[in-house]
Amino acid sequence: EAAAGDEELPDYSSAGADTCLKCHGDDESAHLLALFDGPHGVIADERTPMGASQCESCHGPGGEHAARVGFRQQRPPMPAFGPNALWSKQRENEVCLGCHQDPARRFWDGGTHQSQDVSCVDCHSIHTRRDPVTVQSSQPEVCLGCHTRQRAEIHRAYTHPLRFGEMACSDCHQSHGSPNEFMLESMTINQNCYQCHAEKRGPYLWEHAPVTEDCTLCHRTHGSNHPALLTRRAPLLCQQCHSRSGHPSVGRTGEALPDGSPSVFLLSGSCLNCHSQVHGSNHPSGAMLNR
Amino acid sequence: SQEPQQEQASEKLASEEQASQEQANQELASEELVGGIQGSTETEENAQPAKPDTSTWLCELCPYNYGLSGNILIGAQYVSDDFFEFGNFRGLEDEGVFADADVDLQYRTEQADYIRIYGENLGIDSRTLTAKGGRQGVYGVWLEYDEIPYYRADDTQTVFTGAGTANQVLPPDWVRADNSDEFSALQSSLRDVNIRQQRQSAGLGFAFYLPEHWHYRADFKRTTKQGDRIQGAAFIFRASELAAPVDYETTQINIAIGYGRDRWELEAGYNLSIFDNRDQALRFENPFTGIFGASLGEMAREPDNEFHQFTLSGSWRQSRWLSLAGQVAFGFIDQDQQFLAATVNPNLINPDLPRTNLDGEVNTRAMRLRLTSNPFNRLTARAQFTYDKRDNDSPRDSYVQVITDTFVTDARINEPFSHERYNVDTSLDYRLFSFLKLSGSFKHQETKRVLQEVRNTDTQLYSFRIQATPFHRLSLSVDLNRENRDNDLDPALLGPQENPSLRRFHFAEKDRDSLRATLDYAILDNLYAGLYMEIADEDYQDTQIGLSDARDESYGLDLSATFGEHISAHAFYARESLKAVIRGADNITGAAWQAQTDDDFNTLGFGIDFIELPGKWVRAVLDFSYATADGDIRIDKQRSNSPAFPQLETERFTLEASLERELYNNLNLRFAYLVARLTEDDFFRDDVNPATVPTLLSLGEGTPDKTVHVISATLRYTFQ
Repeated sequence: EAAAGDEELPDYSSAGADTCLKCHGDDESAHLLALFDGPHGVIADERTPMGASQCESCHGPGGEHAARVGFRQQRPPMPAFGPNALWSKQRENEVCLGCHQDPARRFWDGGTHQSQDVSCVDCHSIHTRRDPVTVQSSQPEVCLGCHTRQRAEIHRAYTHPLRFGEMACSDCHQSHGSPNEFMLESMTINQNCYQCHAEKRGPYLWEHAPVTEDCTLCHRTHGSNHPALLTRRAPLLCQQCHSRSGHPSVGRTGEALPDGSPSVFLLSGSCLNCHSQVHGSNHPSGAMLNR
Repeated sequence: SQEPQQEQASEKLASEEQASQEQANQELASEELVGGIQGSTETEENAQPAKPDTSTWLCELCPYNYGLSGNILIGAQYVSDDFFEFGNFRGLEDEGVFADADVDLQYRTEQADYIRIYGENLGIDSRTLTAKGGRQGVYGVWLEYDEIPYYRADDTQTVFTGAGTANQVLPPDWVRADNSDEFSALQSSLRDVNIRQQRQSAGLGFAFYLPEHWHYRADFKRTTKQGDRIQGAAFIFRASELAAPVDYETTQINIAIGYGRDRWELEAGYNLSIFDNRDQALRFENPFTGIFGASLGEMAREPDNEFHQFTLSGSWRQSRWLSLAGQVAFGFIDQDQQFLAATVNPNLINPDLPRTNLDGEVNTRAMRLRLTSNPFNRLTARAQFTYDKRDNDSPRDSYVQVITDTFVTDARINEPFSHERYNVDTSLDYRLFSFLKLSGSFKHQETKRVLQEVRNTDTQLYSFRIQATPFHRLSLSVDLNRENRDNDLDPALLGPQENPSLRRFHFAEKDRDSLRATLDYAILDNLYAGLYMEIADEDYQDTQIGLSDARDESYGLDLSATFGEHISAHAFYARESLKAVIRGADNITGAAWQAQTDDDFNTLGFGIDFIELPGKWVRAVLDFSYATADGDIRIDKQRSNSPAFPQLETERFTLEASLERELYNNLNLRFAYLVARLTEDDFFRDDVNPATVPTLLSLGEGTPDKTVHVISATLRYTFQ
């Protein structure tokens, strides 16, 4: 946890990274040295740790940690980002945010991840050539480590291609804080969907009211047991909102199966066999969404 | 080659440091401590010692890796069977041998110039490739290319010539009939057609980071989606399933310019999205005996549209005491696609259209404003206001309806729907003790709509959360939420033929209660367990027709373990149940029915990753996942003894294993094996052949039931 306000701040080491690497440069620490292959290990970029106070840019002053310790005396931990680190998660985050002030983090303060004490390094790997959370195919594994319900959902029969590495969580969600619903990248749910499904944007001559408002009224975005990621099957999907006299209101039963009296109102696409323009129609005669 | 240098430098430094460390530490301590305290702001969170003099920090032991590094992987993979659904999103749908290639290369210079090339699945239809370059911290440019295959069915059949195109005609010898089982030329006319789409996107972008606090970025992306999809095409109560064409192109451009100082930043942006559909109409012949000579039909395709949006965003962080962030956006969507004729049936009078295109315009407005404050360490307060408006300004006109190119009926006036939504959200987080944090929030949402039976809904959401860490190995959280929604329903606006008891669920009066609890426990230093439970209950108390109840339950267990630096393992299990009750009535005067839907999911998986193995074996990975889902639909009708629906079932497992061995210094050999099985039972599709339903000529899509094996052998060459 963060030390008190009158804490005695430790000293920096005498030789920076060279001090650290005397102990942390061996084979056992090879995984740490991958930092020098990544964007944080660029000495010519003065914004990076290696272009500034080197290891201590992030880990805090390491003078005490690097100093000699007496027999049976425990080596003091580094202030930040390490085993038994002294600083709080919030303070560690301040270290990252001190440099990473780009607009993507504008809504970090007060955001869901911030308020639930998520730290930058819960998701980001710094000592690596390529941070897995920045790669489309490996990002879901990082996010789903915490979002375990969503991990189960993407294993359903009908999903977006997250588990195939063809899509990343960040295609829809802004993990660094967003004022939008579900931490979405776009300002509304529908705008988010239109990023990839622009054909649904319209406006159509004949609009389907819920479609214009919220795609998730009918679609379960992380995965579903029903084709097209629908929340349930037609005709019941449609009968949640439509009960006009005539065929729309009839409750379809097992009598309509192939071994009974197979019905166009139930089988194959059900309502969509005829009303196939459910997202809207731009046909002058398309008021019933079948043209 | 770096090791001897590092050893020498290490020895030199060790001796120098022994002599000078104490003195240097004392000097630095005196300077930095003073500087740090003087330089600190009002809280200890910002307390930092002054920056050290790094001019003597030579970083001689630092293993900078300039030049080319990374690896390329190339080889072959064998797929044991044709399995279309397995190929979905993977691009491995056919039996045979395919290239297996990945690339991960980087070239860097001491001046921070870089080029990075990264690609996966380069030999198959799910390939992705990105190239980035620039000078780190100054500018960057990037190119990207990505393909996503979507494979739905390869057991589908159609009688239409031109399947997958915008003009679908019947075979010359086709004999129309009233019902599908009377189609005499059906069997001889059926041809295989695959339902598949391929999405390809190519993009480029750049960003400049200038020292004078300005930054610029712009990106351009063009995405095409081509293939076909299943779409119903109706003539009154007769319909055909078509392999309808998909030939879309979407162009996106995003531009932003920003200015930032230590405590504040502003950014102005512009987003453009242009959708272009290469097909504006889909013509299809009627395989059934058409009423009033309706032998040809035409559907409109998704119209071309353009979306423009301007945004202004910014934030100001006075200190941790107060920060403010906001965003406003103004946008509009244009759609002026030429209308098709009201009918293509020459036997009907083609009514005049009030206009030649919709001249559609939707204006979008959005605003976000968030105020966050930490008045003292224990307390965080947040207030947020959001506003969204979709204002459909498209003209309203009267259009005579020609129903399914079959008969002319009354005119209808189009309804351009608009809505407007406000949210006010306030929350307080209070850390009562170092191990206990309490949070409470209140959210009020108001939505206004036009042309619908509900004009206003008001929603209140109350949330309470406890986060506790009673000891360092255990953390717990419990979330409780209650939501109430009221509306100003006017049943008269439901329409004359609609059941007056209908309440549409997305604006019906509703109570929703939910509970989420999580537990994370470090059983050992290297073994972690997590549990979660989520329950949500929805009650639509005013609904007699429509969705009336819904309940979601979800439970999960996670385990993860690490064994040293080189071995990690994980396992998980999740169970979820989604239940709903939908009420209906066969007619307005009675004959009520009730439907219950119940989807149950079980998902489990485990994996183990050996990053380093004895001898020349470099890495081994094993990953297994299993998912099964059962869907029950039960309809209870008065005076009915109808047979029950069969269960909807899906079952899938995937086992992947790979092993990599060093052959030479820079060359590894990697073997991988994957076995996957997918089965599905779906009574909506199973046993529904093209002529099963008398009034439907279907594509006969079935469900998968197959196992496939994939074996690959690849070489990885590493550049160092």
